[in-house]
Amino acid sequence: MDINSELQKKVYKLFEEGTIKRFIGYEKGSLPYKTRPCIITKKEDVNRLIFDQFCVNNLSIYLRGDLEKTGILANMCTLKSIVALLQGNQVKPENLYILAVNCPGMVDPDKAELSSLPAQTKLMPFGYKNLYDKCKACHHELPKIYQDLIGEEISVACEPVDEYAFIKDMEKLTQDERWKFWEKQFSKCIRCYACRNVCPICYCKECMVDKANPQWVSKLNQSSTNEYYNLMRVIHVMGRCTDCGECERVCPVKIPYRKLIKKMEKEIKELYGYVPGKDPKELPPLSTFKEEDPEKGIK
Amino acid sequence: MEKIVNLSRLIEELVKEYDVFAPVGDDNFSQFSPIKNLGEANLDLINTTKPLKNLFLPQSEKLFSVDGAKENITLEPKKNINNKRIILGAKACEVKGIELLTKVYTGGTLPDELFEERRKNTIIIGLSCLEPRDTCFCAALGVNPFEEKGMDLVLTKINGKFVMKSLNQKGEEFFKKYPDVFSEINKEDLEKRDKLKESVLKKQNLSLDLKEIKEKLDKEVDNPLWEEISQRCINCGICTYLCPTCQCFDIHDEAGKGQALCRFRTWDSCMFPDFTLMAGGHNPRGKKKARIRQRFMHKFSYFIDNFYEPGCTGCGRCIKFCPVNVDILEILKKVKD
Ligand code: SF4
Ligand code: SF4
Ligand code: SF4
Ligand code: SF4
Repeated sequence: MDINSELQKKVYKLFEEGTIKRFIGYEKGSLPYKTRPCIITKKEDVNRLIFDQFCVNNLSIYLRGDLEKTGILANMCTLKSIVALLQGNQVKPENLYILAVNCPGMVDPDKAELSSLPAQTKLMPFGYKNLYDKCKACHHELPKIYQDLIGEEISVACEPVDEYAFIKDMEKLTQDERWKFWEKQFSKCIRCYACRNVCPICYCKECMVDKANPQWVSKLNQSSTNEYYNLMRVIHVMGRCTDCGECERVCPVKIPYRKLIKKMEKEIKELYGYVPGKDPKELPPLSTFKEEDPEKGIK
Repeated sequence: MEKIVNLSRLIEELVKEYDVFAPVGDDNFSQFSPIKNLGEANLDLINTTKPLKNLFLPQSEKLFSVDGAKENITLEPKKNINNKRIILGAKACEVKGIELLTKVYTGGTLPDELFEERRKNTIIIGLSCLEPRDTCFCAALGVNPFEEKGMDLVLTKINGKFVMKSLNQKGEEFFKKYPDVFSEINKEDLEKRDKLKESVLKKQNLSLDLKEIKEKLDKEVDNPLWEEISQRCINCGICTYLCPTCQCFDIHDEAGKGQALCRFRTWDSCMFPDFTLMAGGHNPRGKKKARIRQRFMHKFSYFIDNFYEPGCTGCGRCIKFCPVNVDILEILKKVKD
């Protein structure tokens, strides 16, 4: 059975049995490479659901707010973010039905030859080289928090990549050179806040940049205030960010966000031996403390 | 008049007298930036990431400052320090954006001085668009890739050479002022240009019944479409901030420690929840659905009421960059049906 029929059949059954009232998945977009999120509420709509190699959106952001019984199609990135949401008490597990999917990695339209796109997008019509960088480094071990799983198991037949190679390159630069690099990047920022709105971890009720009275961040668009916003955001998600890469993907001015978040991830790994997005029972190191912590302040 | 131009030499001449701006950057990121020579520009870009709008309505702009630290409070209005400038390489959809903004900012009884002066001080050398993207739909909005309206001169690239054509008196003067950089155009090149034009226009030929769309928009305020789109829209500022015609701003007063208080304006977006938040806490467009609808109503209904044409140029940026594929063209077609 092809993956779309498997998906549609399963979701249909979930609606029919009354297990879910809502399902968050993907539907065909307006262009062949723009598969998009969709939320369906009736079993008659299941034929809208698809899964292909352009399902890059992290669907966990649609779990915000009070949930009715909700089903969600979770690829690797979505699944890891759900772990983080569970850790932060942002979703009630009893209202959640997770249909995981073995994810072959998503295609970056900027890399792929889209003119040669087959009309009927089959799974894996593209080579490894066209995948998003985050997908190239994916270990494909789904956290076991799902109720059901679709898709064939992925045999990772790709060359192993050092996921921190580009971070190590950055680390070779002097502090001054790094600062210059980021100053230039942040001067491009238009403060559209897409990076925040698309981030599953950015779930604060009121973001510091929106706070007007007292004001925390200047509304003036200039390199220094943009730096403040971006760096604050990155530090705030540190240790909880699961590298879904959405902030980097959506940024219209192409600020290389993963250069920041992977650095944070690497630091956390080295300092605490912690990798986010694995086990909902664990707590992110910056959200907790231990008696034997070396810092005195917290005791 | 039209002639072959040695663009590199023309720019060398122009920078002596004007601030020259052109598309700079690559497929990753590009914008209109000051250039000193042709090498700095990238005239092969389809359209820039940031629109030309930024040169007429900067994202943040100081209006005046008040210095209370001095004995008497002094108020310093921001002077427009614009030199005469030339914008080179702007496509039709970009220039149309400026035309529409000009209506908004200078059309009424109280023109915006900063905008008006910038417009007056700018000469636009357009560039025919030879390779529309899969997200472009300018033709449906009455623009087309070879549209010349709003430009003073226009360039067309053929066989690696640039043909330059003047479109008004201002443009005509270039040929007199810099005679050395121009050479006569031959018949072959002209024929090639006409062929190119024909083939591009054939590709970019969508038409939309905008009148019917407006009627339907006005009538079907509760179209279920708005609810459906609002479910996936993340309410970011991409579609409005990158739009060459979106025009809204907010005014702020800010003062750093020990600094003069500064009043500035900075873009705002109808997609942001606090865009319509009132001082008393009421928010007339508190729901995402209402905000999404507003973007389409403003462009395809209210703008027509005010200025007799839609507030969109079909540049396709909002389609290209929307993180969740809210596609304005798809929506217009759906509204129509
Ligand atoms: S910071 Fe970026 S990569 Fe990390 S969870 Fe948020 S959107 Fe994903
Ligand atoms: S998405 Fe990019 S441009 Fe928008 S606020 Fe974030 S960093 Fe800035
Ligand atoms: S760019 Fe897309 S997601 Fe962002 S506000 Fe516009 S329609 Fe919504
Ligand atoms: S609404 Fe979209 S297509 Fe129209 S001018 Fe704005 S960005 Fe371009």
